[in-house]
Amino acid sequence: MSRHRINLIIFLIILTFPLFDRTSYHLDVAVLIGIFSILSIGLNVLLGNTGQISLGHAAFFGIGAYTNALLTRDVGFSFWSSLPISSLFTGIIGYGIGLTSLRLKGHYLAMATLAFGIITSTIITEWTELTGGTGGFRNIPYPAIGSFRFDSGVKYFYLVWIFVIFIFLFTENFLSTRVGRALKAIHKNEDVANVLGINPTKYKLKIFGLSAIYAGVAGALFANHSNFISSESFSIMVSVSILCMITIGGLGKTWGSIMGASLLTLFPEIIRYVVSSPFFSQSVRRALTNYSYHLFIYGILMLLVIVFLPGGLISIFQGKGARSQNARS
Amino acid sequence: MDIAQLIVNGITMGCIYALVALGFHLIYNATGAINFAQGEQVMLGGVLSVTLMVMLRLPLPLVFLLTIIFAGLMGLVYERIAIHPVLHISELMIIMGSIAASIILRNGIFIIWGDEEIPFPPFSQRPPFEIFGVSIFPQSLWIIGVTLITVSLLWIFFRFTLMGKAIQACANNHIGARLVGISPSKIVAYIFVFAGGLSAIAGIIMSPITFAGGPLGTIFAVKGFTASILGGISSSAAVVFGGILLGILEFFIASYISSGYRDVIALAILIVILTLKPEGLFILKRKS
Amino acid sequence: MKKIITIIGICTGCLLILQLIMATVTYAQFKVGVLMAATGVYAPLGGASKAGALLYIDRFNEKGGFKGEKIDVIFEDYEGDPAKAITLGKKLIDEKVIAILCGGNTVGTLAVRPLTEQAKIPQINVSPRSPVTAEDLVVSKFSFQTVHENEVDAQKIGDYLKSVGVKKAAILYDSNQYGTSGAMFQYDYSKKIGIEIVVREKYQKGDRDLTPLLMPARKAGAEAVIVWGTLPTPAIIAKNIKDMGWKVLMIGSVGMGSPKMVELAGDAAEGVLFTSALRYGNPLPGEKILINAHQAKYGKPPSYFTALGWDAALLLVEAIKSTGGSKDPLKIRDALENIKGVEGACGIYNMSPADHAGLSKDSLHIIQIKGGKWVPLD
Repeated sequence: MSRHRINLIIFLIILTFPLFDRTSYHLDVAVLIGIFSILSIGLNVLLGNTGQISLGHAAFFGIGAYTNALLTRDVGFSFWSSLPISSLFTGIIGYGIGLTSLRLKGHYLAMATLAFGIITSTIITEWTELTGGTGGFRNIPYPAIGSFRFDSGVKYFYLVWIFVIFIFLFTENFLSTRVGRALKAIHKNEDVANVLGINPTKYKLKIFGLSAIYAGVAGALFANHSNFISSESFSIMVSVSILCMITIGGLGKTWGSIMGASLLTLFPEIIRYVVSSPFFSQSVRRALTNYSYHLFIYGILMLLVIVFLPGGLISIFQGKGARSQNARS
Repeated sequence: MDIAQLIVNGITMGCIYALVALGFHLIYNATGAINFAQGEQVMLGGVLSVTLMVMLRLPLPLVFLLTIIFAGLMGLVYERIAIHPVLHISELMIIMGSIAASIILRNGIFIIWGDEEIPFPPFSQRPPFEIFGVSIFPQSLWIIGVTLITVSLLWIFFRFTLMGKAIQACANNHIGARLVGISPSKIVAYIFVFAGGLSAIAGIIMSPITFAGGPLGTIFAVKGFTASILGGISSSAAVVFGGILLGILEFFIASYISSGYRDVIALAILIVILTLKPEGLFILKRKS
Repeated sequence: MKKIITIIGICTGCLLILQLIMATVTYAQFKVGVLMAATGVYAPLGGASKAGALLYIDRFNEKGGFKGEKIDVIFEDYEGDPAKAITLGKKLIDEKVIAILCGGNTVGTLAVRPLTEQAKIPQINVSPRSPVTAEDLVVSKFSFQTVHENEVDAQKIGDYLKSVGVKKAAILYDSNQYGTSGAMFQYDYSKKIGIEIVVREKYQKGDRDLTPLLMPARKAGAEAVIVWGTLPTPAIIAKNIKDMGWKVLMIGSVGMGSPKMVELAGDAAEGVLFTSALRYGNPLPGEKILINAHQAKYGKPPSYFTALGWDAALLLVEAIKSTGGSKDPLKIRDALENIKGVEGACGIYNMSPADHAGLSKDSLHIIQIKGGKWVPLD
């Protein structure tokens, strides 16, 4: 059974989800998983495949979201024309951040991107005239084709997941081309890559840009889904959780990104269900639904994965060859 | 006089940043790694000490001692489980390890102590006194005093004790150190204990002003890092100056430019320094 | 190959089990959703409101409920994050609640508003609407609140300052919606009654030292410092003022009404004033019922935010009673809008189509912190 057939089957199953379940809450969660999958795939291409650290990735998510929100609500663009603009704009900023990656390596780059994340998050919160700050940006219109609006859970589910599938296919394809292999070479050893004729500078800049474009797309989908966004959704904590998603899911693996995004988004929801059964006492219930517990567990999972299973959880499904490949270099 | 007041307040906060920056410096020198959990270790110092002081009603010196010891131990645990296993794999993994540790520590603290601020009684109850129109509150003096003592003790340790010199040797030359019988991995462990203790001290002395607990861990890590980059992460004296400088700078920015964008400007300065003079303002020559 | 089939099988199995769990959720009739920010930065507010609401509902159920039918509460914690509030709001609506008691921070209630409007169920908020833009001023048909609106609060503060002869004041406000809105109303009202605002500065919730904002205020001769925001920052401001050795009047809005203020500020809180719907030392009957109930269960007096939650539940129950026990959300909404003379812990509510807050300036009081206790000045 070829890998492509397996992918196809899994995608088909995902697409049949709304047939099982039409509650708006569950569809909401499924949409969020899709959006965070796109975000994670983008970060993974940067971090897992090329080894460049971005600790403030939620910043790009936010830039994409607010740009799209502004374009669709205040400037009057349709979602389909604003999406390329906001994604490209986010990509350009990503490219700019990529310039710092030329001078900074490793830990310094990590700190610089963290600083960038905090700066962006603060600007979003403070520049209330533009973004609404913590009060939020409201009444963002739904995407529409003619008179058909993507306003219900089911419609938006399909919208987002079709995007996810396209992005997945694009990424997998992209990574298997010469470019993808070049990125991997840069990840393993920049100097050797240089000697082999690969220009790390050109690639690093472009990959920062590309990764930011993914985040921009995710941001746009997010903004026009909730028709309300506020600065809380773009904080450093979100950057950290995306990082957890790809680490736990599997660095460098596209399926790993989706798996990580699913796991970390579903986890609190599953806990909510499990805990609402009468088996659990009031205090246990209160403890387990506390967000800090969830994050604590993600942290531990992340550490366990780093130390014992660097290929991520997805490597359990992908066979021994893929397991220790990407992270250990 | 306004400027004098700002400077005094700035130095106070700057001392805290200096202690955190020292932690960064120690770890960076020994491992080449940036400790992302440094901020959380500061918060740990705060919440631990407040529990000892308020719930167990222990006297202040004992609180200091116990908190530093415990924080040091936590530093060791952190190093063993999150840094040591990945130290020789790749830089990326070390970063991820230290980020994972910071998540665990931060949320562990939230689970045990809650995520709200906890009031911490000031060390001495005297009212603030005025010198030349500048109001100095007693906690300020405590902070500056404890910082001076800590930095001096550390300096003596590294200059004059065998262990201190061993650590320095290790930082400069792993292989050479091994040749004379110093085990680098043990040294690294000791460094993390020290850094943990340093952060704890910072956490204790700042809590009467900033309260113990709360979501300040990340921003303290970033500011501590900013301070060390500002000064020059390779030198302990430089990072201390960097901390003080950052403290004063922040207050001036808040006063004359904007309080809301204060952090943004400080961070922008960080990025500028990282790009233009990463070895720091107080370092004259580039360290290879 | 086998691995793949196993995975697919497990996933499908999980989905089906989830379906089953959902289907067995019993549909008790009087289902009420309580959506509050019980953890996170706004926990002192949302958590207290949750406690208040649940306290009222528990006592109501103990006394028999609606002719034997009890109220079934579904509680969700949105942690202060409006995006989570939207998701959880959808969840509650899926579960067919007949009303949502919502709050902890303003933006959470604003995020949920379009949902309850679409689902046509009443939403009773414990956080003020805090209008900043013109569109915010539109009264939503389905949203009500038990908290005084910022405009009324600002007027109360302004009137008090005028009455003690203050001519120059400084406003320090939180950068969030609540603070921004409050500062706006405060500024406008001060101009109206002739108080000069010499400094109007915004602060971030994470700020730990506000001396840079206070020094210019002192220099400009401010006789009062008005603080619009929620803890912990007002406590820090109080401490800063004390450390500066500045003897100035400090007054805050209802957002300061948490017992943590005294905890965090210690001695510095002495003499600080704030507005509150509760009278503490000298309570009115509605408040007394809450105090007794709260004291009995928790052994300590309730905070202002507890009272907001209590009143939200109280209003809902009274509205349902006045429809004769109806479970129709539309009828309940109409009943809420027609509430007149209902006494809660925060005062007497008189709702109307134009006023969904129902409380007047008179039910707001000026409280002073004296000796660590709250003493009403009127």
